[in-house]
Amino acid sequence: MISGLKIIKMLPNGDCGILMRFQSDANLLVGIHALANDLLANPPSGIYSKTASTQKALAQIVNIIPATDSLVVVFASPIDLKSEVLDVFKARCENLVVNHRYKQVHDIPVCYAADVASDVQVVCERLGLSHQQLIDFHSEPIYHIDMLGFLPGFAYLSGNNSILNLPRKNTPKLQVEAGSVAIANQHTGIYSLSSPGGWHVIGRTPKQLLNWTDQQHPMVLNPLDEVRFRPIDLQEFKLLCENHAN
Amino acid sequence: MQIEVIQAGSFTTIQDGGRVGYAHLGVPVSGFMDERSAHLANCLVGNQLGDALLELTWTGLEFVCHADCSMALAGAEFECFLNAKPVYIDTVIQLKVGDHFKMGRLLTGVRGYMAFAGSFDLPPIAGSLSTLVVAGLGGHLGRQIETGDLLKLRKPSLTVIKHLPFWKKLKPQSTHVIRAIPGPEFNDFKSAAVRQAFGQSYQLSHDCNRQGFRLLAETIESPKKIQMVSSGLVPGSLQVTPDGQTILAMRDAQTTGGYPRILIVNQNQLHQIAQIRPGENIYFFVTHNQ
Repeated sequence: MISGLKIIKMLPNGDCGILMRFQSDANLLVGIHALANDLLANPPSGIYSKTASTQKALAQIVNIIPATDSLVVVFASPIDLKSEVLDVFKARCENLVVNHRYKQVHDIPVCYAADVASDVQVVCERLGLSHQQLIDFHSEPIYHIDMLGFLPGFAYLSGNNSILNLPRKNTPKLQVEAGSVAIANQHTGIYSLSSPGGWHVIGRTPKQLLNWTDQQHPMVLNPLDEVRFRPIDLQEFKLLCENHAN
Repeated sequence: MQIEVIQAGSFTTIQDGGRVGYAHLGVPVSGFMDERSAHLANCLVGNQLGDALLELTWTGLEFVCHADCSMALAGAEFECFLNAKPVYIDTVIQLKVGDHFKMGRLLTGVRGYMAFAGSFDLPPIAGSLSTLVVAGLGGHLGRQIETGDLLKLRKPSLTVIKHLPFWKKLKPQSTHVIRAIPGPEFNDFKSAAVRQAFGQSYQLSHDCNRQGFRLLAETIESPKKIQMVSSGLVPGSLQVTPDGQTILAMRDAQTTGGYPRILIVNQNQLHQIAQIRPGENIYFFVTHNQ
């Protein structure tokens, strides 16, 4: 399937980067991640350019950062946003074929007990929900992973029930435990690592979400995958944690 | 084969050329804050420019060397003592087994770079030895260096340097002019806000670490747009928060950000910013390269 991804704007993102924005489309997210994967697999090196600096920049990509409606490409050296650069990426979009990659569905066990979810009680109070109602509302939908960002393996999930809409905390917490499942605005986030965080932690999964021994695919959760949360009690949470430790 | 840390300093981490190619998974680029000084230190001991070394912040290191190994320092300048005697540091220092090296007062800059010939023997995470403390990733056990740590060297050796490279030493200065270009959202700001942001001086606050530097200045009127969708963030991005404050993203900054960026510092200027001290002033010299 041709992606239908169309660049509507290309802007400098620093002297060594570009930011592309795309025409909105029902398959926009699929297209952006397809473009990101295509650029990661086949960097546009060896493109002929009349300008030596453009040729040099295109030959060495440092990072590709897909987001929900944009894609950033960072080069190792400065790049001039000449029309030929736009042409290179336009051509990539036009010929971009979306592979029907096997969409993984992750069954993520989550313990919503206050012992492992520091904000669950406050969230219930603020939303006027009982603990069980919160669990039901949060574990019912099938979520989509929009992107990974913020910190290694932090997954942004869409699909929240609109009842669970809370703005981010004003002051981030210094330490959020690895495996924390948290909400903010219309998103659910999963912390793959312990880190500071400003989202409301309502649960925690015992599942290990990062594996650096597999350097090609260190993340368990990947963009466009689906996630289902399976509520578990504290006893099962502890049991599963021990199993992972062994 | 080892470096025995006697005093670790307030914030010492292992850094290298950075963890590139993983930003799509949310992994910040990390790496040397002052790349030029790091390259110089590596160059002096015959390492590859991007090899892992120690980045010292504000305070130096005290250690005993358990190998014959060349060492070089660059970047921020400290008083240094080899076996309790002052030592000339603008060259390669040849350390012998049992030598005691101690760094004292900080003279210029903020971040010092200490390279050992042969670099460190540590397992790379996603192709890099850089420490990302906030995520417990890379470097020595994913954390800053602590007193008592034993750091293993990969191939310690004594190198012979025939010609010292020419370099300009850091000079103390109270005002810094940093080249930049307009950020991707600068058109969303009112023109008066842009003129103000590009013209005014900023003072570096004490809130400055590897993730970002908070700058102090007249508040900048943020665009009225209620919510911006996050997009890829690069080091050097000057982000304006809803209350008009400014945060300059640095090497450990998150990979995506949702604050509008009014300007982005040119990448070859980041090394200069890494040596600015809180209280010093920054002007951005913004050129439109379009």
